[in-house]
Amino acid sequence: MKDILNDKIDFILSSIDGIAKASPKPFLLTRINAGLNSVVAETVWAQIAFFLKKPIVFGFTILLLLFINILVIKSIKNRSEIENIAKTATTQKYDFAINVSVLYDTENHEP
Amino acid sequence: MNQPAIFEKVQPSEDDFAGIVNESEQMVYNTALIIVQNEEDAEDVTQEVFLKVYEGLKSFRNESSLSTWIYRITITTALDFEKQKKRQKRGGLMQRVFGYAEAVEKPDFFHPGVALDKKEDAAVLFMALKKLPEKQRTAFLLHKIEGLTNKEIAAIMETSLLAVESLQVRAKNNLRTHLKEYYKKHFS
Repeated sequence: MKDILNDKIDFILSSIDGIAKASPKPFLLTRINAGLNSVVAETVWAQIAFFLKKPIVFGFTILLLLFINILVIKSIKNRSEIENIAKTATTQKYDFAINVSVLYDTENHEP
Repeated sequence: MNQPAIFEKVQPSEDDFAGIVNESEQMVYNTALIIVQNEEDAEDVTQEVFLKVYEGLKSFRNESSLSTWIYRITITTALDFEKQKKRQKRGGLMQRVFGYAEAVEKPDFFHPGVALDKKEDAAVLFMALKKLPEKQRTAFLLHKIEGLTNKEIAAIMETSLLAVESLQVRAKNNLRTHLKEYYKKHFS
């Protein structure tokens, strides 16, 4: 029994002796060239991502965003102040017009 | 190794790439196939190897021959591919939830270059080869299937001649053990 098993194992071990070489499917070079082109396209985006990932660039971008935000908030504040002043001026002008007309009416009574 | 002319160049350039692919595609595909044991995966590995070769040509320093360098890239890429595939298989959500179930031991790779009457036996051998440690398997396959000399294998694996011989002996012994276990389990 042991001999039969050993013979079988020897036979299996020699089953790949003189094996023929396998070949890939045709047009391998064309497929590799296509792969190379996609890798080149990928690397452009990869380079951009790599640049953006740098700590200095990242930090600068954050600071820039904060600065823009502060500017926008300030400009909104300024605009509302100017609007308030203009509103007050209009109200005063309106009040004055009313008062003047009232004055005029009280001082110039018809006989 | 019977070197084609392109492999003898001192400093190959990117213009030689098409020639390198034509001369070495069979060598790369074959080596990848015996490691990953799947024809489609071997195609993927072959493409990946040549992309690496293209990228590495600029920095190729001719410290080893071009074919040795390509063999090295092929073996590393194929072994990495195999590991990644194993991880994906093991990492399945269902398997994680219900626990890892050991795959059923079954010869499933039939090398296209094996004679028809030996196909079943070769499939059993390829199944047993999967269980060998990487270095033993590489040394055994490069000698048995690629027909390389021990000196060439030593150059590819960056090890000594003695180490290659030792790896091959251990590979054979381990294969015997695995095959015995397989036959005892399935045919007793």
